[in-house]
Formats: sequence, C-alpha cells, structure tokens
Amino acid sequence: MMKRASVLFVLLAAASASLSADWPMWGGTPSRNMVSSMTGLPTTWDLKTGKNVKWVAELGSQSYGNPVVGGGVVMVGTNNEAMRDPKQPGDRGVLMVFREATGEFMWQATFEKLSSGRANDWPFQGIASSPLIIDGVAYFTSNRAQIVAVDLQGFHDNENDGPTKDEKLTGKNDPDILWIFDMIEEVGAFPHNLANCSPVHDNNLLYCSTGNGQDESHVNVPSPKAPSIVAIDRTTGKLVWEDNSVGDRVLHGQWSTPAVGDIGGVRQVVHAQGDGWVRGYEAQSGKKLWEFDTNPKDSVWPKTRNEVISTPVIFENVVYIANGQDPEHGEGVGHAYALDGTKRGDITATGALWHFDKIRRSISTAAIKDGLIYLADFSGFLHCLDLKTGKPYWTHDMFAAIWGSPMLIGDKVYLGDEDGDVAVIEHSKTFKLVSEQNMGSSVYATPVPANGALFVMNRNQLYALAEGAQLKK
Amino acid sequence: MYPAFIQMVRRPAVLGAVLVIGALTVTRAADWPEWRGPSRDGRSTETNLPSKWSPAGENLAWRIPIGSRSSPVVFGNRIYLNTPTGDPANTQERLVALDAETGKIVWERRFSLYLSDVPQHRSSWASPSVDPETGNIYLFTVAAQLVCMAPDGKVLWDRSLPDEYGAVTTHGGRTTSPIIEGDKVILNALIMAWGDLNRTGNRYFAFDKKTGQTIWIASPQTRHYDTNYSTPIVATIEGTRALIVGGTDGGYHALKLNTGERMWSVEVSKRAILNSPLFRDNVAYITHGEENMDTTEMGMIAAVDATKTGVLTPDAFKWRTRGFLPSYASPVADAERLYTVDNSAIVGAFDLKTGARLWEKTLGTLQKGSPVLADGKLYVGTENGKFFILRPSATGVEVLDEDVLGTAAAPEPIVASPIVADGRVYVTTMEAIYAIGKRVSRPSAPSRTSAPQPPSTAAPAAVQVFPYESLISPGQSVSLKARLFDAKGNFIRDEPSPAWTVEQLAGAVDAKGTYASAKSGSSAGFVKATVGGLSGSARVRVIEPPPWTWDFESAAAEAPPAWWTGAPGKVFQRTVEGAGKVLMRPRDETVGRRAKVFFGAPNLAGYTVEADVRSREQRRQRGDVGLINERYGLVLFGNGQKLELHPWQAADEMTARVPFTWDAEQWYRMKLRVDHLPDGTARIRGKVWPAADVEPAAWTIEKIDKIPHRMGSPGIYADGISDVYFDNVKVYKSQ
Repeated sequence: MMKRASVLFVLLAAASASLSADWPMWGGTPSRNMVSSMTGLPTTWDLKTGKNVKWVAELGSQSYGNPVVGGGVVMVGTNNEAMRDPKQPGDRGVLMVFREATGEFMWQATFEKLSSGRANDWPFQGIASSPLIIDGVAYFTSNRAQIVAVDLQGFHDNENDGPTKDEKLTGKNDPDILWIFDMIEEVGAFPHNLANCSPVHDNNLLYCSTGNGQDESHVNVPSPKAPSIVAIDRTTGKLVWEDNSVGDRVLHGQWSTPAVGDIGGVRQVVHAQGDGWVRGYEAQSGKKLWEFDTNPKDSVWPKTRNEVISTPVIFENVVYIANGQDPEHGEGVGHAYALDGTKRGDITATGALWHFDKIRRSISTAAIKDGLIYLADFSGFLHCLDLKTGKPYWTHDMFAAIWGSPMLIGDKVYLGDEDGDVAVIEHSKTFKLVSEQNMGSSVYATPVPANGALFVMNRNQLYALAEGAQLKK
Repeated sequence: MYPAFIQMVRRPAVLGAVLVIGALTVTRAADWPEWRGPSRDGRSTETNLPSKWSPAGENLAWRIPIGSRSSPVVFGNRIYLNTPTGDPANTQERLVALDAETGKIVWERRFSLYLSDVPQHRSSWASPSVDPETGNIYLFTVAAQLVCMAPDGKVLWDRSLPDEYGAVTTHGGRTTSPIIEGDKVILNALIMAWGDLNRTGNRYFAFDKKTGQTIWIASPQTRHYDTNYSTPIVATIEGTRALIVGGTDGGYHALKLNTGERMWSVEVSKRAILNSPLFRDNVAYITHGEENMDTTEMGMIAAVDATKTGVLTPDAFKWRTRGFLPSYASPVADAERLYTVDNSAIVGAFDLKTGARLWEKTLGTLQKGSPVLADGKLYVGTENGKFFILRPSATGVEVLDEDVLGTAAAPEPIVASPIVADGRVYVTTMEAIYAIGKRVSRPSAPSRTSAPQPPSTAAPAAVQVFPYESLISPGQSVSLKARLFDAKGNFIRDEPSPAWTVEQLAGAVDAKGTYASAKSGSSAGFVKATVGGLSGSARVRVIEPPPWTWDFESAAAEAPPAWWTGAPGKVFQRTVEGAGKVLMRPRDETVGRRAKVFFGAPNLAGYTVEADVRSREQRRQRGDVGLINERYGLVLFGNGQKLELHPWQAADEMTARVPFTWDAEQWYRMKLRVDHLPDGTARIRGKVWPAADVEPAAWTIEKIDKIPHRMGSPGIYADGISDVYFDNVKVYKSQ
C-alpha cells in the first residue's frame, strides 16, 4: 500500500502541487499559510435543513485536532467520549479516521491518558495534533507525547506495515502503527498539559515540538535539558537532531507547531518556542540561524509577557507570527510581527519588518494573499493588514473568543468562534460580511477545504459541507 | 512546647462554650455576609436598586483602587474584601475592612502564604464570611489557612490545613469561600493527612466557629478529579438541615449539617463541580459546564428531587437540559426562571418547571463571575470588563445599563460577582471596587434566623466525638464529649456514660471521656465512644517535642511513623544498597509525584532541620529533595542542578536560588534553619554539602523575609521524578 500511494504522490507533486486538492497537513503546506485556491465551496449552509451538508460524523465531547484530508480519508483528533470500542474505555486521546466521500468511520487510534495526570495530559483534551499525511502515512503527536506514524488505510488494506508489526490490536477499527517516537522516554520531555504538535516535514525529516514545559508548580521546569524541537527520520522514527535553546526559561508550555520554507535561498524550519522567541534552523542540519524575542523587554509574565501558540507562516522570505497565551489565561495585549528570516543571530533589534501591537493575545495562524494578511485574536477580532507595512485596513469583531484561524479559500475568508458562529467574509481591503452560520457548539477548529468540500468541526461533530449537497434528515 | 494550640484544645471554658448547638443568628436582609448573599442564592430582597450608573460618576458613590478576583461581603457598615497586596517579592493576602459609607480603609490584616502552588495573580481567590451572631470574620487563604478575626481585626484563632491535614493547593487557585451556619464554619479542601484520612481526597470540614476546633470531617466522595470552589448552601429537606454542594468528583452531594453524614449524591459530570446549587421546595437546581456522563454534549442545567436518598439514579431528575456551559458562574432564579451565564459570557434563561431554554444574550467573550438577582434585575460583570444591568422577562432581556470599566484598551476584568447591600450595588473588578447607588442603612427584617433548637427526643442514630481532632504532647490529656444525634441530624444530648476505648494509640481514656496520653513517646490513633449499637471516634495525635532523630535502621515496617502527615503511600522505610535502611520516595509517575511530609505540630518554631539526601538517576531524569521548616522549603533540584529557598514556590520573586552541582551517586547533607530577627524580619538559611565531608562553616543560601512566617511543622519535600532517599533526619532546637 505504501509504495502505491508513494508513487501516486510523486506523480501528483511532479505535475503541479495545485492539482492536489487534498489538505494533507495543518496549514495545507509546510509553509502553513492558511490559504487555498479552491473555488466553488459553499458560502452558506444550514445544519437544521441539511442544505449544503454532505455528511456529519460524531466526535468526542471536545475536539482540537484540526481535520486533515488525504488519500481518501479525513483524520480528526478528539477525545474518547463518543466511545467506539467498549474495550478501550475511559478518557483517552483519539485519532478518528473517516472516509472522505461518505463520512463513514474507518478506524481509530486511542491512547490512554498519562498516569502523571493533568500536568502532562489534561483531562478530556483528546489529541490536539493535526496529522501530516504523506506517502500514505499519517504522522501525529499523541496525548502521551509520542510522535506516531500510522498507515493511512489502517488494516483496511489487509497488511500490517512495519517496522512495528506486533500491535496488540489488529482489527479493522485499529491503527496499523509503523513506529512510535516517545518524546518522554527518548528526550526526557515533560509536556506541559498536553503535547499537541502538528508535525511538518522536509524531505525525509519530520519536525516536532516536544511540548516540554513547567510542572504543576508553574515556576519549575523539571526537565530543563529536554529539547524544544526534534527532527526525526520519518522512515525509521529515529532522532536526527534536537535543539534546546530555551533550557529552563519556558514561560509555561510549548504549543506552537513548526513551519518549513525557503527563506533567502535556505530551506528553514521555523519554530516558536516556550520562552516567547521564534527561531529559524537550517532544516537538514538543525543549525540555528536566527532568533527573535516576540515580547517587549519590559513585559512581565503573565500579565504582559506572552508565550507563542500560533504557528509561524513563511511567505516570500518573511515569517509572520502573533503571540498570545493559553486560553485559560484570558485576554490581554498581543503582538504580531513580520520577520526577516534572512538575517542571522539575535535579530530582535533588527529583524522586525513591522510590528502590529493592536492585536490582542492570539493563538491563531495567519492567512496571506494578494498583499493582505488576516490575523485573528483571542478577544474575538479579525484584523486585515497590509502585508508589507502591517497597517490595518479593517478589524471585525466576532463577539466571541477565536481559537481557530482565518482560512482564505478562493476569495472568501472563513472563521469560526467559541459561540459556534462561522463567518464568511470577502477577501478585500474593505470589510464585507457574506454570511454567518451557527454550528451548534463552539468552533475551535479552522475550516479546511479539500476536493470540493469544506470540513468544519464544532466541539463534538465534524461536518463536510459542499455546494448543492443535501443531508437527509 | 505548643503553646497556643494546646491551650486552645485544653481550655475547659472554651469547651463549655461550644455546647450550644445552633445559637441565635440573625442576618439583616440588607447585609451580604457571604459570597452567595444573605439567603445563599445570589439574591437580595432589596428594592429601589440602581438601574443606571456610569463609572464616570452618575450614581457612583465612590470608587477605590483596590480590586480582587473575589467578591467582598458587607456586614453592617463594614465591607470586608480579600485582596492581594505587596510587590511580587512580598505578595500577601490581606483582609481590608472598609467603611461602607466612604470606601475608606478602617483596618487591614495581612497574611503571608506558604507551601502552595497557587500563583500570586490568583491569590485572594475566596470571599471572606461574617458570622451574623458575633460579627467575626472568617478568611480562607489560597494556602488553605483558615483565620478567624474579631470585628476589629484581631486574630482570634487560625488553622493551618497544609501542615495539619496535608492540604494541597494547586495552580488553578480554586479555593472555597467558607460559610458560617449555626456554630460551624464549613469549607472543603483537598487533603492527605494520616490515619483514616491517609488518601488524597476532597474533604468537607466543619470547625467550631468560636474556637476553630474540628467538629466533623466528611468524605462523601469516592474519587477526585480537580480542585473546586463550589460553596455549599444550607437547606431543610423534610426536616433535615442539609448542606448541598458540588464535589470534586463531578457529583453534587447532600450532607447532614450537624454530622457530615451523606444523604444523597448524584453524579452529573466527569470533572469537578465549580458551581453552587439552588434549592426550593425540595428541589435542588444544579449546573455544570463540563463533560456529561452519557452524551458528548457538554454542560447541564438540571432539577433534582432532593428528598431522595443514597446514590441517585436518573429518575431523580425532574428535568435535564444540556448544551449550555456555565463552568464558573453559579445560577440565580426568580419565581419562574433560572438564569446563569456560560463560559463565553452568554446569559441564558431556563424555565424552572421544564428546563426549557427560553432565551440567550451575548454579553462578552469570557465569564467567571456569577450574576446577582435583585429588584427584578440581573447584575452581571464579564471578564471583558463590562458590567450590565439587565431586566429579564419570559421572552428576553432588556439592557438597562452597560458600562466598560477601565478603558476600552485596558478594561478592568471582572472575575468577582457583584453584591447588593443597603440599597447599593458593589462591583469588584481586578483593579477597583465601585459603590453604585445611595446607601440606605435600614434596620430590616432578618432574612435568615436559626434560633436555638430544643434537643431532639427521637432515637439516636449517630455518635459524634468532640473535638474530632487533637494534637497534644505526651503527658497531656484531652476532654472528649460524645454527642448524640437523631436520624435527621438533630442534636439529642451529650451522652454522659458511653463506653470509651482507645485504638492504635498509647495512653488511656477514663469513664468521663478524658483521654490521658502516655508520659513519653509519639503515637496516633482514635478514641472511640460507643452508645448502644452506635459509635463515633475522635482523631488524636500525641507527638513528643523535638529533638527528633530518625535513622530508620530499627524500622519494623515500611510504613512511616503513624503521626506524620502526608506520608502514607508517599514515603517508605526501605533498605537500599550501601546505606542500610533509609526513607525512600520511589519514582512516581502519578499525579501526586510531589510530596510534602510533615513531622509534627503546625506551631513549632526555633528548630533546625537536617537530613542526608540522595537523588538517583533513572531514564536520564533525577528527582528533587528538600526540607521544610516553619513553612519554608529548601529544595535541591536534580535535573535543574540548583538549590532553592522559598516560602511559596509559586511566587518566583520570593525564591532565593543558587546553582548547585550535585551528582546522583553521592549522599549530601542538607540543613535548614529560621531565625527571627529583632527588626521583625526572619533570616532563613540553608546549607548543603557532601555527606562524607566535614560541614562547612558558610551557609549555601540565605533569604531575609520581610513578611516572615513565625511557625510551622518541620518536614521534608520530595519530587519522585526518580527514586530519592532521606537518612539521618534530625530536628533540634537551634543554637
């Protein structure tokens, strides 16, 4: 199975990336820009009548692992409250896999909570990693701080793919695990509250945040020698390089996910880390190239100094990032930057092309197109800025906290909020609301486009929306 | 050796004073003596309350720049507020007494915090409570210290739950506001103590409000998910005075007020309950905003038949409405509707008869505080810094007034709930208190009266031994009473001649219930009173004054000494290679990895603590080891290779810290002493050196504390990231 999928992927990639209408990773591509050129997706829908609703799948009670779509399946991270296997009971992290065309449940991977409790693995948060699908394999981070490689088709292909071949559970509903890299066992990570990294890749390397952070005292980093970022060989699951520039200076946890892109002719992996700094590494070697402090020097944690939870976006040699805090900490001041990743060393004083300080604390990732950048914040504001200057064109108040990210699909921006509303907004220098739909409960995830459908999650359901579809009630 | 504490428990006059059950208590309807108000339902019966105001001045009596995350209370012409004070290196909780007319500070008392994971910005979590009978004020700090103050601010007594009961206070800050009912102060805490309280769990405590002595401790839960702050309400359920409270186990529980016995429990969630319930006409209205038991939809508003008993099944629900998530706000209700606010600041109305969701209105994006209902209006503040006055009806809500407190760029978050007293509404933000409206001091009808009840003549159903907990020195004694209660929890009498027995404890008890300890030696156990087929026990510890030495070599069992607090299941007396028997904290991958063990009384002072320590390396990880003395911790970090001295580890700016390289194969000796200096400060000094070497003259680390602690039980700290060992532990008078 793996070989066939691999060939297919190479062919697609060789033809043109834009022909692949999958959404195989967080952000769609390694640069993490929340943009798709897809057209024809619905701009209105109605959950009550089923208009433009293709299918709905039931998830656990809280779902934070954003959907990805590839190889004919949709994968979602959730918890185990919609228990599908009575032999795997209790609170667990769950990766659920559905058939893209029909929403039919295919298989799931469940992970027991860590016995060390909430300090490492917060109750009911499920799996909050968005998998990376490549070559018929999905890579994700479990709630147990493991990077897990699984066969996309599970055991539906009637093969047990390796290296790991001694799985205890080998039913049709169970995961075909290829390998597991346990970041607690292998590099001593002490994930704070939950390891959530959505892996990204360059060639044969996978990059992942370890989530290493404080213990429940919130002043002590119990494992200061554990790295912030690891690079793993994605065939063997072995460690290739690691970096620990943060040491015991983790403000809280490390929940930002890395991005990969070419900056000034150098393939870089860019990662925002637990001390509130963003760092750029040479992707293959792990050599640190630059670092930037996203906090003003006079800021004080936790009132004004922030961590970074957003994912950096790499666009035309520039890195775009906003800082913020754990939603549990509430609202506060934030900072957004455009960073020149061609500079080297500590670029805090020299690297900011612009600094937007009207943003509030943000955990959202940017969408960039046509000289505009869309950034959302946790206080409920969507900002549209000039990409080159960082000057705002408009700000829209969603009147509810925003956890997800604006997604620019064709000429429409889609954005969900905690009150369950999904706004559809014109991609324009002037604000125009196209529509607003309520999804019934909080929309924490980012709407995702793939193959003519829009995938939107609320807390406990995954909807596939498509123009002209009608869900039978 | 333990002056204050021992005098307290032995003074006969004090014991005599507590025999009256249910003294006359009168709360004026115009007071707001506890967090949930005069009738513990978030309501006031006052009328002509403000419908409009502005922070700029309209209808604003005063604003003072003292804020808090907890609500103030009002009693007579005093406002009492628990608020943090001091710079980050000297943060304390303080109780301020304000003149209600002017907002001026009349007096304040400051309390230093200790041995807590609660960060500074979450201190002063709980509201104080006022006893309507005496006017005394009760404060429960985020460090789990309960303090009783006279109306002039004089401290009358205090209980330190960390060193006495192994209370654990966590990063979330969640701390229950106590209530005062009859002769009792009631609260809950997460503890791990000794004897029958040797497992970590949430317990309900009733303390004698005059003396601080323990009346009962109840453990109605079989599990614990999270810490919580569900403040109990008091209800009369078919003649039984009952507490109804949300547990840390996802259930609501009804307990008999006088004995702590469980009447019923109903499991509704898989997370702790943070809300207070409502009670009316034998129905308990309960809410939560977390996982439900039987659906992936979160949150619940429900009505439960409170007359049922035992573990309630779904047929006890009159109705259940799911999908609305009030994790933090507690509800209020008028005659027709229940109102509450969800986590994203949407206020919702629910039909009291059917639970039907009637309407919703968005007020902001984040909500922590609870609404207050008075004069037909809802008063509610959001964490976004907006304060609303709303008039709810069957079909919707009219916004009478809406104000941003602070500036639009820097709003003042509102976490506390508003309160109503004497014609005024008081709004507390994180930065200030606003007094809205004209103060009308009027002698109004009592809203809550519990007159002394005549003793019951019904058959006895429970024996309660009082005081429930004592800590004495060898040679001292305790006078115990056996109180009888009927099946409804009503007091019958002090039984004059129960059969007294002693269990697991040296010493003897006479026919009058006087327990006399042995002349020497420490022990812990129970004194039991049996009346007919009923019995009840009191917990007693007898602890020799220091000096103490433990080399563990003669230990007969793995279990640590019975009188230590927080030790069972955490530390073991075991033989390790090359060191004989030691005290071991094995590697632990569970929630309770960080253990604090206390050896003695919470009011010891003037001692030095020493121990040999070692932290092994396992899986590239090394655990942390430390000593505790007078509420200060001296901790050697294994992975961190540093030495810290702290009163309150979560308050980073209070911590003294030096790098310290120590290896996994060697034993080190640690030493911690506290000296109280003539200028009122304390000098805390720690020393660490390789155990095989001669003790160096110089101290390794030192801290001068300007807000010092003055006492505390000696003990040890161990974080079982790997196996850690203690040996040759010594506690002796400082020279």
